[in-house]
Amino acid sequence: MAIIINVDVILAKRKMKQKDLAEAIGITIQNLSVLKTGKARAIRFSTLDAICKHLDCQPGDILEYRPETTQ
Amino acid sequence: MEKLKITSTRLQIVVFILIVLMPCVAALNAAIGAWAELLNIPQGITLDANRIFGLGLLAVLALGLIKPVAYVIAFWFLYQLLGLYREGIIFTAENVAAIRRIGWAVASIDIADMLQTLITGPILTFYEISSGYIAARLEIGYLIIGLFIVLIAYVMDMGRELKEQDSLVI
Repeated sequence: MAIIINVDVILAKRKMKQKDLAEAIGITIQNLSVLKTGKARAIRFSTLDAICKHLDCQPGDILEYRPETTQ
Repeated sequence: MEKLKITSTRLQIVVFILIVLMPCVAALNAAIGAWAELLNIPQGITLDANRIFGLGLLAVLALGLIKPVAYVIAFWFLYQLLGLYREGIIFTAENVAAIRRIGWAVASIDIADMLQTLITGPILTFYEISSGYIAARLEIGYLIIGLFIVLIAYVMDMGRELKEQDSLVI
């Protein structure tokens, strides 16, 4: 997947724990982990909105497009 | 979920009884010499029971077991599916595969029936158990039901995949 999720980077910058963010945005820690590890198929606008609100950031800070290199 | 487990357990008992009953009925028919009933012989065809011995007897028994075996296989797959329900396994790939197997097994009952009807005449004629005859019958009731079950299993599988995908939407 060429889309990279940078939630952990923002979490580290905000010195916030994964558990606290999960509780604040109303998703399980397992689902947050799925999102972080890039296993998620899609992200709801409502989830993105909640993450941005609680981490005080922009969607672009969380989502990054990194083209896959073909060998 | 508890209700499903209780119902599945009860149905499993019923299906198990049917699994045991099917060969018993065939054996009973053979024991009392109800060959026409066992072989599903068309009306008007008479069998010479005195000629049913040795290889002829084996052939008659094998022919008579074709349909009961098809039923037993279908019931066995149903028994397995109910076992999965009893364990609380629903909407899984294993479950869908079990339903698909039931579908094919049910469809094969009619195929077994048609095959039995088709080959019984020549085999009985060969062993001189009946006067020469050949019969064919078109049975599609179970075939349609079976294929419909296979279709339902396919749709269920699609639903399961969608559910799996949905669980990865955060």
